[in-house]
Amino acid sequence: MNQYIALLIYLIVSVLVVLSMSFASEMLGPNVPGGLKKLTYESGIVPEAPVGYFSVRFYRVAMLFMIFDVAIMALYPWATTLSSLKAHGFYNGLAFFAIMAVAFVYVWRKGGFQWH
Amino acid sequence: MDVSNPVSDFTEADVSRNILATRLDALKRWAKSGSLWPMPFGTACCAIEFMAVASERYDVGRFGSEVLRYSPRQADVLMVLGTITDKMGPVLKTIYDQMAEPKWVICMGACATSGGFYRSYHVMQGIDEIIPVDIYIPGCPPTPEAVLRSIIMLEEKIRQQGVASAKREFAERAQRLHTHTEDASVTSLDPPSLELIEFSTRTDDVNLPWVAELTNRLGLAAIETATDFRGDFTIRVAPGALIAACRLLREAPFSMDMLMDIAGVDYWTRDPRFDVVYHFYSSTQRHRIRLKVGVSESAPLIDSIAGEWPAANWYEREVYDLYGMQFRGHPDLRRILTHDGFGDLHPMRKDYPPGLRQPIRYPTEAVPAAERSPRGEMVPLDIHPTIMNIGPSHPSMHGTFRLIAQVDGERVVDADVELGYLHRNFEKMAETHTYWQTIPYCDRLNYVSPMCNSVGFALAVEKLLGVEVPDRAQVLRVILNELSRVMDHAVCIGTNVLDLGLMTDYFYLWELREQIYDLLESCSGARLHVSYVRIGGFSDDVPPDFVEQVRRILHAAPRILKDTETLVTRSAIARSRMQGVGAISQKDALEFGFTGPNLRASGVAYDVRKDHPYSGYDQWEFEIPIGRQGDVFDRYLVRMEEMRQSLRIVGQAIENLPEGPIFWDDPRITLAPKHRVYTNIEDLMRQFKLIMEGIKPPVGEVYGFSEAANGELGYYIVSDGGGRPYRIKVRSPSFAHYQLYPRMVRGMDVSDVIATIGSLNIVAGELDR
Repeated sequence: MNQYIALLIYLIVSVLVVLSMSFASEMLGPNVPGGLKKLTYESGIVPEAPVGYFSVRFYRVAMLFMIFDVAIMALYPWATTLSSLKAHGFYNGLAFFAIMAVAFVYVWRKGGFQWH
Repeated sequence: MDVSNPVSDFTEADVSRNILATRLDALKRWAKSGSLWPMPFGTACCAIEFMAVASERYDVGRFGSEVLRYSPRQADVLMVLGTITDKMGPVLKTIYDQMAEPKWVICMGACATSGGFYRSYHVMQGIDEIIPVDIYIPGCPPTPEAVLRSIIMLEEKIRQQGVASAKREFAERAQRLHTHTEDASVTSLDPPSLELIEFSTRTDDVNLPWVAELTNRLGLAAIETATDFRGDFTIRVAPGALIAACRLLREAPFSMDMLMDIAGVDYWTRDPRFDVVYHFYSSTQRHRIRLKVGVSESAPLIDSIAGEWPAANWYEREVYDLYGMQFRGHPDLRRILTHDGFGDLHPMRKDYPPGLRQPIRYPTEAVPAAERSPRGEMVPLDIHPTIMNIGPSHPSMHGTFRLIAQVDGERVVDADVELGYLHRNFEKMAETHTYWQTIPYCDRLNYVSPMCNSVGFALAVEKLLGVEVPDRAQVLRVILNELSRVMDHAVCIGTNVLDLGLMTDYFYLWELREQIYDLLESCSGARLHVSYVRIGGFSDDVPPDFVEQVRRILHAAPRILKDTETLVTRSAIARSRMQGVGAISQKDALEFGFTGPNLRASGVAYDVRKDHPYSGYDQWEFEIPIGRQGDVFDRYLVRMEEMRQSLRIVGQAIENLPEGPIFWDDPRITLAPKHRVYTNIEDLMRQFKLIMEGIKPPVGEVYGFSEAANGELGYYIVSDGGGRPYRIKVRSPSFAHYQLYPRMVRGMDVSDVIATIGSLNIVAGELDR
């Protein structure tokens, strides 16, 4: 039970920190809206036309990035608790790696990391 | 508590009641002052000094400001570094407007503060015309210490600023923003009274075999005159025979394969009023020829030679822009350097006042598609094109170059470039100053290696005068020139690999640069813009420990180059980014007038130092490195090897530095030493005459050229016998290099576009002049 209280406190504090930071900058900072502030930044040139479409390839890049990036995220808790997980946890982690590696090699061979 | 209460009304109780609030306010201001995120808006020489601030010796990281943000959304201090031209004005204002509040502006250098010594038709006379400034840093360029001081001053300012005053300031600023947008800056100066100059052109008829050959083939009527002045052959052809003559020059025995330059000259009391001057060079025969065609004022029409010589495209656009010549048959005749506000005015004409600026429109909202400016020759795609601006304020475009790319995802389908964002009118300024006063302007052409420019200019004027400098001055020029070349290549390589994400090497190479700065500073008192060369020699002798200092640099440099070798040449990541990218064929390189390391990387062994030795380069042993592929990696390798060869030259020269005078004691050219000026009347008069009237070279025109860091730097000087140059046209190497760039980047990925631009070494000072 105790560990859940800690989690609750953690949640409350993190929400508070985020909210206070957003509101503090809203309250303390000056606010002068308007002008060109909402325009796309293109190295100082006012963009001539809004971008009509994005290449679908960006979607693939973003998706692959998300997949492998999130996979790496899962390694942090695994690495920090490795001493208590013992051999069982270690081999389970390696199995996870192996599955990831298969996916990685597949995407690589398919040319997924190339733009074209 | 009412803030209007005088201090004497405070009681102890008041203070203790409000102590928490005042401390909170102070805390807030302290926090604010300590979290400054600078956005560098670097355009010119000051940006180079700012790079020194960011590198290891000055280390702006001590202020928590090492993370330079190139986006107005993430920064609150806009650092304006360098000359802001009228063309750049809207860009600066857009970025300022796009920054979130609170925001501050630091204005670095004389140009941004007041226009500096560019009182000219295209330079903003101080950025406070369009945006408010918090801190001004004086100097041209200011030292890195001054830049660091400005950051401290800004922090102090923020810490002292109360809440009330800050709010008032924001309100004021919002209001000023409004007024500035409404009356865009229009400065009108009275046109200066122009002296009428009776112009006589020297016409010594020469009997060259070429002239006979050209006359034979073109017909007698085609060649009007042929002259030879100081070894420069000039042929004036009839306007109708221009294209035929240009075609003929490609063939033997002329075998011209490079179009070096096209210049316009305005002889405004003569008919025909204009001359268009073409400079050709034959890399196989190693000879040059100058072709001239007269163009009348009433019908400024001339045939375009862009069909015959592709390199003529940009040069003709420049002549059109500055002189208003209409080129018949030109594929894309539009302005290239000046902004659109010039309408049908052409600022290099003699009757255009040097300081008359033209109004420019500031952006207030996105331009609707119907009003878009024409985009040259862009091919419409069948899908919706995405047009993306890379630059001018983009770190990898080095601040002043705008690539308008039509992209399909990451791939550039088509591209056009816009330059002129640093067009600060060197040529017009030179016409209004004496030959001496032009030297500081020359320093600021290629501000990465100022010595090479001013030495080149001095050489050109000396050619016009027909003098040679003493041995000691020649050897000193070689030493300082070569060290400047090392400096230039160090920045080129450093920034190129920085753009590719290899940051470490930049710091190593910058250390080499700092050591050369130390030497230059001890010689001339300035780190960057030395103004050390004079026509006829140097302003003063080098310091007594000069040899010692140079030896120290020679000792330290090889280690730095070895580090670079380890970090870049042997790095698989760097090589995979550089090899096979941005390759330029030998044919293209010659066709577009490439010179210097970029030409040599494509496999052509042309180096002015070897092919047309000057300043006694023929007495030193050195080799010219040649590339095979002409890709980014080859250009990098060639520059690396050139640095070693330059150090080799310096090593020989420093051990054989002759004693003797550093300028000839000629009353028509050089100033007398100060102690003599103060003690006898002749030298006082000499000083007075030279300062007031300047050097008066004979009537004539020369093309003086030397090997600057980026390639052949040519000065085409027309003298009317007066104290001021009648016309100076700079043949800058970068201008030729970037003409090919839009064609090169077609089909490249955006990441390779970035790698390519840095490898050509973009220096806007000499690109836009």
